[in-house]
Amino acid sequence: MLSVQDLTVSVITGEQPLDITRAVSFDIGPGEILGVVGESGCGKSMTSLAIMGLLPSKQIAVQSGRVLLDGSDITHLTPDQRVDVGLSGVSMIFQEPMTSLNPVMRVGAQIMEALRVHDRENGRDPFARTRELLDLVHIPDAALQMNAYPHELSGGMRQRIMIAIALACNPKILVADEPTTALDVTVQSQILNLIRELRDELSMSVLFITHDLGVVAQLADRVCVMYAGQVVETADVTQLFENPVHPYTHGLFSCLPDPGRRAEPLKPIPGQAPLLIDIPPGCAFAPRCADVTEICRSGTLPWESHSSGHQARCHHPRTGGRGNGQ
Amino acid sequence: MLLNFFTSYAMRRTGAAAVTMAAASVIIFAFIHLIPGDPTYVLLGDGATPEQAEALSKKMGLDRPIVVQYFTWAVNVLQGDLGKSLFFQAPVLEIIADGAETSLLLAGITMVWVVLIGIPIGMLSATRQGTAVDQTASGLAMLFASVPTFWVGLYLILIFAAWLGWLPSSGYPSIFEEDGLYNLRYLLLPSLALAAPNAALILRLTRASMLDVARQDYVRTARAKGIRPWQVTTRHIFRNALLAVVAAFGFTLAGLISEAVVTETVFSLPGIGRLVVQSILRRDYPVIQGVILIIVMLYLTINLGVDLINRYLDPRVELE
Repeated sequence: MLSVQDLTVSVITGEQPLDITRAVSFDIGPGEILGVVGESGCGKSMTSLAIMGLLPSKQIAVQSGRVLLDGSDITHLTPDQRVDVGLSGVSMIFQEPMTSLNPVMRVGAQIMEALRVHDRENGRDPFARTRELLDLVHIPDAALQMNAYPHELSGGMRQRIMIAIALACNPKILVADEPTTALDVTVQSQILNLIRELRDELSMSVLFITHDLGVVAQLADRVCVMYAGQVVETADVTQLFENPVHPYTHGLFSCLPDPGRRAEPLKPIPGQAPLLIDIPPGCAFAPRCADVTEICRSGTLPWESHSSGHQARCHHPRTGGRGNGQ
Repeated sequence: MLLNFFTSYAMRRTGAAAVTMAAASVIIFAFIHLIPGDPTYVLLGDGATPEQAEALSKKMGLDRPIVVQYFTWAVNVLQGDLGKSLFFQAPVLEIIADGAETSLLLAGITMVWVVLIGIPIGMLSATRQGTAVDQTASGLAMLFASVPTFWVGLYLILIFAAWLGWLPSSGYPSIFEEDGLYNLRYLLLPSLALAAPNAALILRLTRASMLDVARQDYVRTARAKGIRPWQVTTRHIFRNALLAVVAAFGFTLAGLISEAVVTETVFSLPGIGRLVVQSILRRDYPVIQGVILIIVMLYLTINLGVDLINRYLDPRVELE
């Protein structure tokens, strides 16, 4: 369905391009929800913007690799160019529902604007279709809310409008870049339920970017863990939660509070993620890793299979389940 | 319902403007009493006898209690009577009306230039950020924003009136005289001189504001919809950038009032600006008072207009 192959996104600065993501690869099947987890600055947002054809400036560009939608290369096409060649199957929702809607345009008009581009051939009345979409994302009083301005709506409602705009583009794949981070917890779970429900109803795939393992556990079918611009581990969600193998993934789990072990302090991963200009050779996680040995500090890393669909980029994978090795 | 919100907002703002006007009128009225010493002597000159001074004082009503004086004056003003010019011996309102045609036309034509030059070139500059077009436009804008109006005026006279002889260098005979609207050519150079710094300002503001809006999240949302880049620019970027530009029009128009004083003097135009200068030199206090009153009124009206336009353009402006 959507296939990302060796995607390297770089900032083109003075002498040498700095790689924000390094050879990121993953596939999303029909109806699948893939969660991408990682801390801030690990390149997950840039990956999603590259997939969307929305990299923010000329200085940040796809250096190598491809994004394929049903086998067609869409890597270097912006959304409007994708419409022209009939390859507009990717929609996106963003982290900040408060700032992602045009403040001086009624929300109905913002949905209809997308419909006029993507729903022209269907011959559907855009008004009626907008109301349908608002019903679909569970906005009460659709007819009235169409005339609202964004500032008149709550954060959760705005994110629903964003989803309606994304759906107006008839997506095969919805890219969701931390769509619940800015919302409070009850609203967050409503939005997550909505996304799952829409996946089932519209049989679309979802690429869900987050830093929150809890959200991944709730929603995703499969997970990619990213660190310093690379995918370090990928597995289906139960595999990853029961049997993480990469020390970084282990580290993420030990940062989670566990109600059963309230007395124990959380164990943060020591050190800091490396800066773009200062990514160590070999394994980027080596300086923070408890299991590090000499071979980790140079050369290329193995991309080893641990079970079907479970791979990790590590010389010293920890097998034997969560909590092991620490 | 929306219209009602708007009407209610408009009424409140108008009410607030009326209160400001009333407060300003007190200050303007007090103006004549701020003149050091006895105003009658200032008006009559040093050689006046006490009898003359007293006669004038009586004539002007200066011997009555100050509150009574204010209300008499205010009632007269409300009836359109701004008093009589000491120099012209004619009603102040008539004298101001004589200059109003020139000044209003000058301001109007100037604003047309400002809009026609500032906004489109600012947009072009923003959409071509960093190119030769942008750098030329920004450089020229910087230049014209920095040079004084009178300097631009003098150069325009030198080039288009003295060397090329295409346009008249001074005066303005009114569009109701012979030649009708063709007389507007007299205002071409003055309006260009007056427009230069203001158009430069609006150009820079349009450019900066568009570049700022272009970075907003909702512009990314608009792009993600797959609409054309020009639609992103006009519907999303420009529409939002306009808010800041319209707000600046208020200041620009208000600034025109003071800049017009200089321009009208350079081009010898019979406008309100020159009237102020000459009245100050002649110590014609009723005229100065009247002109200030009119200017305050204009200023408040312009600001009210800008507020209302902004409320219309930006639904977030609350009914405060």
